[in-house]
Amino acid sequence: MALLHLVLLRVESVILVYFLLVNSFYGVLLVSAAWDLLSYRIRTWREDRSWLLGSPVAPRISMLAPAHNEGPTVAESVRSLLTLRYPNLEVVLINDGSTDDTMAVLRREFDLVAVHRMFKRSVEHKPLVGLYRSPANPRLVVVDKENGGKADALNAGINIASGALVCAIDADTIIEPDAMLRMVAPFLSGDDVVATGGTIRVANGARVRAGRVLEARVPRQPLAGIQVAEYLRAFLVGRLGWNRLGGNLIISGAFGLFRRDSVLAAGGYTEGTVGEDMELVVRLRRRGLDYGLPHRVVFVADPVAWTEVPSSMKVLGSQRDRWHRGLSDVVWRNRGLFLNPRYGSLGLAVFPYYVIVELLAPVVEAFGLVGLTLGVATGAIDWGFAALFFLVAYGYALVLDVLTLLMEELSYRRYHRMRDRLLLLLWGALGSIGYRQCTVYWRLRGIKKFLQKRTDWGTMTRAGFQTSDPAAGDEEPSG
Amino acid sequence: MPWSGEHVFPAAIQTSVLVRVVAVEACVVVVGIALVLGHGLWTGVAGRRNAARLARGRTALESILGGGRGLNVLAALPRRLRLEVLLGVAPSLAGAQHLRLTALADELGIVASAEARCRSRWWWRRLHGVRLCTLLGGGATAVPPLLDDRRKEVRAQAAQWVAHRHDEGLIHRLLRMLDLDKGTTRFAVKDSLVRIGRPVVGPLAEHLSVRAGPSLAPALEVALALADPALLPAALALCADELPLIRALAASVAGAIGGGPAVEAVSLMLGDDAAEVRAAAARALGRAGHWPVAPSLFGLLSDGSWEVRLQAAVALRTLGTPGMLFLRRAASSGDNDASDAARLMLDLPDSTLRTL
Repeated sequence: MALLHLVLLRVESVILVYFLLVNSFYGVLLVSAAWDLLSYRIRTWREDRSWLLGSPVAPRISMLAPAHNEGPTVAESVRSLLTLRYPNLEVVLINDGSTDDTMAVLRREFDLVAVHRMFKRSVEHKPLVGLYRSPANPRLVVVDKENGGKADALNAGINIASGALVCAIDADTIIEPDAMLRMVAPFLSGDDVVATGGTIRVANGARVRAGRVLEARVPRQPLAGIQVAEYLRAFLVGRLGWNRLGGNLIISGAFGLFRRDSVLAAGGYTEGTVGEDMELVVRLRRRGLDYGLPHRVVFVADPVAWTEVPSSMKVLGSQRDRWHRGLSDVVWRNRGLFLNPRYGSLGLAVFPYYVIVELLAPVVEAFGLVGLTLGVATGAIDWGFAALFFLVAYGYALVLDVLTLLMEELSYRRYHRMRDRLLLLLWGALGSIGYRQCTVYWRLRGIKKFLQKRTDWGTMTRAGFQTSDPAAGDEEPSG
Repeated sequence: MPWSGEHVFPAAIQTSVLVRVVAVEACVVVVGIALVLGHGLWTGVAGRRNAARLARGRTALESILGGGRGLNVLAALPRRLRLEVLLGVAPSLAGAQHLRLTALADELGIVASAEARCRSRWWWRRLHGVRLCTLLGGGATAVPPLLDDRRKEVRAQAAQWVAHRHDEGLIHRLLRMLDLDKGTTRFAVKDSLVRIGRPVVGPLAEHLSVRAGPSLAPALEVALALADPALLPAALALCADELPLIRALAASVAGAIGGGPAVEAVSLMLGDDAAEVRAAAARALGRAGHWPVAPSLFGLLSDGSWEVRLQAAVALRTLGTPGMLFLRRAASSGDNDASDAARLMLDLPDSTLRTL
């Protein structure tokens, strides 16, 4: 018993140190994010965004939208993309071997005509079945190809795109009309930028019409509501905070803008991983630093894309387990970056953070929970102290949530109704009770599946957009 | 003995410390919630109150721009709302209407305040000052020095301000900035030069004829967008530049301008060693609409470079009937590369050609 007590005490003290370090870093991220947000707001004060609309020298952007069995929504999605406000835009819709009527809908709605399948095969992908153009919508290109997954579809899109910049999105993501005008800004302001990412917000509960979010609303359903608070924290604090601390490693798979020549030179998206978006960003940054090429990754908070999050525990669990498998895979593939001074802040701060905080968090948290329970049960740890410690941890998470909401309130204020603010506070407070412990379990399952070398996507079902989607991914809010 | 923290972290982790931490957290949470809800409440009330004022302000502005009265209504508005009313319409006004808006902003003291901001020691105030001058007018003496500001954001905004002016001295300064600046400023400078249009041509031609090296590329991009015949001599001279990038851009400029000398010079570049130059030359000849070069372009359909084959095919398609004849011939030829490029071009709907 004495030995067990000793082991439990040692484990708990290690976890305590971990807890202090991680939470201190969250505090640093919060301050960094607030500073970056303030700086961004100052720089964009009264900025005339319509100026770029009339620019004759704006770089061309190709929107790459992979679609798999999106028949019911694909036409609306394409129309929504074609009406984005940007002066030089191309839309490349990649039908990734759909078995439903996706292609038939596209042919009918956009009067597609088949053109000869000639393109430069710079990166590999599954064979094309057809290439189509629309006389009525000259900016639309439709690629019909054999099913190969999201990475494969994006590679086909990158080959065929004609833009200097390519924007990878999910076909059912709703992008705000002005988003590209803001998203492109870092590319115009620096030759060293290789990718930019925008904020993903939760569309559940929002008023949506004709492919546009008319009014943001916080869902009443707890599971979706908690994810709204989680996404806000991840994007407004996590990703924004990293802008000043060495840059991001994750650019949303549902909404990320890349320099096309850099992506092609890096070999495009990697297949055989479920974390293809993060893998590409890490590779681009690593390659840029290796060869003195553009490597800066910038997160811009106000270009917004809306996505529907899972509203059932089963789907959410499958999504989170897949995200964690992806993270494990990317960390393993790039283990040479860990504490490698050659890569500067990427090797010494950003990558170690993703390993220690993002990857190992569920392991440490699980040990902590089990150890604490055992310790209290065996009398090794004073229960009063345990309860107090638990309260400190919960309180800290609550502080982060409230401060994130305050940042949102003082900056973008997307939720106008008082009821939405109250709901957000409620969901933020409830996120640490039950939900967080579930994510620990799902992420542990992800690590286990990674060790078993499993690369299946699971099923992502969406209620609002009626998508059953094994290939086109959803967005990860971690970090 | 049960662990209460003292064994491992005697100083830091004691129950009393944890209690204090929880108390601080509770305070932060309560204050945070109060701020979120209080701010929400305040913006709601202020929004409703301001909506009526803004509506009155907009009506007054509409009346003033139409030659009527309403200055006192605008002057009575709080400064922030006054700005909101004026800036709301500024980007969509031009010519006499915009001059009237500038005069109004001057009368309301907004221009003077913006010019004062341009002279601030704080970069963000200078940025905001020059931004207001760009949108509302003014800043004739306050903004030009900001083209040399130490902050790139301010320089870029000042370059944008120049787009509304046709001053030769300022145009020369913008052209010098093309050499020196990168990123935001270079994009803003290129954009402004193209928007200024015709007055840029003389200084740009001079710039192209005296400068050398890769820094000429952005100036050539401006020349390409302007495509003015006065730029042709400089472009033709650069067609023999030692850098492939410059030769390719010069060929594009010459092709966009067109005419006998341009076509003659660019036709010679179809045999250039660099693929990017051959591709640019092919595209330029298509743009120039010079159909006698169709046989040469047909030959390029078998080029070793994919980009050259594609641009030759695009050019043939752009040439119209003569080019189409060659494309049909290539499509049925035994050369797979030429056939592929030709078939793609033959299949493309006419409306998509301008997107290529």
